[in-house]
Amino acid sequence: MPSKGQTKAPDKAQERIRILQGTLDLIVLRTLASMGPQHAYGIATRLQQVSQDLLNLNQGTLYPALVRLEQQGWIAGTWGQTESHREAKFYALTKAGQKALGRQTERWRQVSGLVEKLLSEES
Amino acid sequence: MRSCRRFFSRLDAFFHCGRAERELRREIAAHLTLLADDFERRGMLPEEARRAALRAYGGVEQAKELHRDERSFVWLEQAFQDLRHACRGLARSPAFVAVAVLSLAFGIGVNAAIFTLVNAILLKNLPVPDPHRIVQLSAHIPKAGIDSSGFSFPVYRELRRRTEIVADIAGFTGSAAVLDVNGVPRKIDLQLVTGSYFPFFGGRPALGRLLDEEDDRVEGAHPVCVLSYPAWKIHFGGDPHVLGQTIRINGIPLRIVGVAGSDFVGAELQRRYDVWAPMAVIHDLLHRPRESPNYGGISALARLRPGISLRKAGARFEAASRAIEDALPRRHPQAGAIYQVRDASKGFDRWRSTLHDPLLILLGAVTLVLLVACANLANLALARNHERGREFAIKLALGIGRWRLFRELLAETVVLTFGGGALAFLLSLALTRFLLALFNAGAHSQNLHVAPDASILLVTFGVCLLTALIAGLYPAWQASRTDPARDLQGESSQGVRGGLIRRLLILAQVTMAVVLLFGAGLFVHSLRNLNMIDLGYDIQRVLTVELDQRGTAQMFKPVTAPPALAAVLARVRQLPGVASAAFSRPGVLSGGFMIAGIRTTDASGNPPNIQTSFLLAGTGYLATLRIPLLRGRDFTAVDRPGGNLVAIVNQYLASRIWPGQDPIGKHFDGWNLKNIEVVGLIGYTKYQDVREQPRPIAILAFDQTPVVGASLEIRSLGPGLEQARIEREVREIVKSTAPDYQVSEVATMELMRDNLIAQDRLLAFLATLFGVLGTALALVGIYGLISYAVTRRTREVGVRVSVGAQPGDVVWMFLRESLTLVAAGMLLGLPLALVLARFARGLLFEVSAADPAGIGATLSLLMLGGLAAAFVPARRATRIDPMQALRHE
Repeated sequence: MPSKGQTKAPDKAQERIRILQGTLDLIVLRTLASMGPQHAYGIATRLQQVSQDLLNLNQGTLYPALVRLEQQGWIAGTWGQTESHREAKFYALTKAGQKALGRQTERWRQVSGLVEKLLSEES
Repeated sequence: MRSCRRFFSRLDAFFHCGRAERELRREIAAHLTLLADDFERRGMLPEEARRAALRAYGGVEQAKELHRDERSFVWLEQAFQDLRHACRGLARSPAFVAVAVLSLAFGIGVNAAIFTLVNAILLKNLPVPDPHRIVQLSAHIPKAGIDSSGFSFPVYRELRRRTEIVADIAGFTGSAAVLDVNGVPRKIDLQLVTGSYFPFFGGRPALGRLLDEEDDRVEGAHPVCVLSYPAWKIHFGGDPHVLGQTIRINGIPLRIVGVAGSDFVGAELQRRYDVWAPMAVIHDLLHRPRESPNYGGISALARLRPGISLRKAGARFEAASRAIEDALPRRHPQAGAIYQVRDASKGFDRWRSTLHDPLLILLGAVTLVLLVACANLANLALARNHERGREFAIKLALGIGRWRLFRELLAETVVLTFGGGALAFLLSLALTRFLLALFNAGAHSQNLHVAPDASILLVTFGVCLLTALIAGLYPAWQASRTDPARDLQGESSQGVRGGLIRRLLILAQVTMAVVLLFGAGLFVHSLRNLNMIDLGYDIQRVLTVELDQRGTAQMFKPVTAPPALAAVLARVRQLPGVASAAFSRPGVLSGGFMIAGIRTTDASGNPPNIQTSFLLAGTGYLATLRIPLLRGRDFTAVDRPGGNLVAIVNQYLASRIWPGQDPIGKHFDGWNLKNIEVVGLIGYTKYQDVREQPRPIAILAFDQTPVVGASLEIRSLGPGLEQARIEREVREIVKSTAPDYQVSEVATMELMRDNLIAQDRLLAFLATLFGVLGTALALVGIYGLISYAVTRRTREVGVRVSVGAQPGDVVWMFLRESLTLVAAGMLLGLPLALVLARFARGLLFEVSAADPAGIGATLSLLMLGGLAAAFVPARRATRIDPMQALRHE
């Protein structure tokens, strides 16, 4: 059953980046840290802007990451109103989330540094 | 930590699935609205914007699914899905469900009930630290060849002095007593205990204090008592002000000093007492002088000194027997005793030894019942799966996966077993209560108390459910191996082997049913023999009314021929419907006894001293019980107090004292009376018990002998309702004519006899229940098998009928199959039953284990059952229309 999502996930553009498992969490945390409390739509829009549409992301795919982060206690969601007076669930980084972001960023830097190093040696 | 946190929020999400789902829907809706707003801002029409939003969002349902996977346990949800699916599947075959659930409910229910008893009576230890140091003391008296676990107080005191063997010792004796609550008499169970009793068993009070050594030191100095927790609740409404109140027990005022904790058990796990009083008041309450060596009945448990083994303790007590003897007055009833110990980690042994064998036999029987039930489940599931071969084949062909199919079928078994288990739980509670009620029915001296133990019930259910699940495992596995190619072509891939296994299961069921039925036959036969024992008198239509003296302490003293009783008797004899009535004491079969030595005063007498059972009987007693007088005369009105003392003796006594002589006119001393003249002779009569051997009995004239209370035997002209009316009227007469007396107990003599064989009745009842259950389950199995065979062989029957087979031939075709199985089961079961029956030999009354009547009855019953079970579906086969049957496939 867990395979369902992957097999049916659209693979429209080859050049778009398919997101790495776990990376999305870091991106969401980072977005919330820089933007402050934000609803899912806001996060999705922001991701698209920043990645300049390079990131292939169905907006719905954001939700599993949000659930995961909320269950880990890194973000907390509350219902509120948008500027356009629509209701939406706003997610904010918790204290634990801020610490986790620090750790994850550090780890990401290590990993990407390592990969970068390997790639540059290869070529 | 983190994974733990996630685990719990997932668990939370799982149980609050609805809430999380609503939340998600709301959030997605909000998201889509925001998206659509955006598109509208870019100039789209609202409808267009909504569609664009959905597109941009991606698959809504798919996102939901991902969300769900993320937030909760997939496997758990799948399991629930399987269970829901199983329930839907089962709902389509209600008959199958009913039979499967009911057979499991019975199979598991009887196991839980019997195991509750086994645990409480045979397995449970006393709730004290180090129960294995607790021993029960007994006296072996070689001269008399008896073992007694009751001692006189002087003996108890000597035993307690053996501090080199025992760290401490507790003495106790129980008695039925009358508690006076605001003038209303209530029957209670009283236990008199030594001062060491409560500390010995680690008792703690719920209120006030418990009894201690000081209460028990000086005879009669401390008339105090302690209530049990339930008695405090029942008789005093849990009133905390009972402390210091004075209550009357057997007319004696006792001050309440405390209430025992609700968990206090004492020396016996299966017996509950209402009130405890110090042994030092035994003389006042039970008229037994504490310091006299002639009154026994005090039981004792001891705690061995650390480091002293049971064997060492036994040897040391045996060695000390001589010294104990020397410290006691000469010529006491236990003179020459050798003192012994045995393990009492499970408490004082009142029933354990006697119930040990019956309980193990019952345990064996219920295990068989469970196995038959499980075989039934397996069999039914096999047959049902067989019929669903096509369904499975289609599912497999559509790619459902064998593992998935197996899981679905297993889920069905799980639903069935748990359904059966839930029903079994209720059944077992009811059955336990019923069994205890049956065991304790009417008999005030028996008070078996068993509380269901939650942990034991859980273990029992666990084992039973596991057995049932294993029984369901094979059919599910078998079905998951269905070969779609063959099944879709109308053949069965579960074919031959499935059929063989089903036959073997039926064979096993029949074999076990034979054993169960045969056992039932033995116990029923034994009970019939007990019921047919000649008691020496006619107990039909005889009512026994027990009269107790009431009021102050003086009233518990023996009196001779009180006028009030004479007046009662005169009025009772006048009642319509009363054929005759007479007083006696103690009533025969009542459990009471008066035993003492008698001496002959004639020079001819020989031997000098014979232990004799005494009975006091008034005029008309022999006629009321229809005891034939062999020689001499009955008591008459001339046998008054102060006149010549007279007695009627039985042949057994006469032949022991005056062998070869005419006993009429001879004299003897006994029961503290001198020079009693024998005026009559009777044959054998039972005194206390239906199984007892002939014993010497002397009947003294009721009016000439001091006595406490009385039993009134009334022979009525009619049964039932007539007796109920007479009982009411007698109660009225006693109230108005003899205010110093009260009716404490009324019972028909038939009921009293039944109580004496309560254990045999219980065994016969249970054995029959289990026999019937096992047989019924086996027959259901046969029915299922034949019924299935009829369906499967429809085409064959069609061919046979079309070539001229008669309905009889068709029926016989299927009956033969059933009879073969039953006969084979008998061949296996009968030898097994005969071997097992030897374990029951000690419990049977004049029935041999190889009881030919039992064998005949078992075999014919099963044969008939097997025929009937097969006949119903076989008849259906005769209605098969050959044309349709042949066109069928």
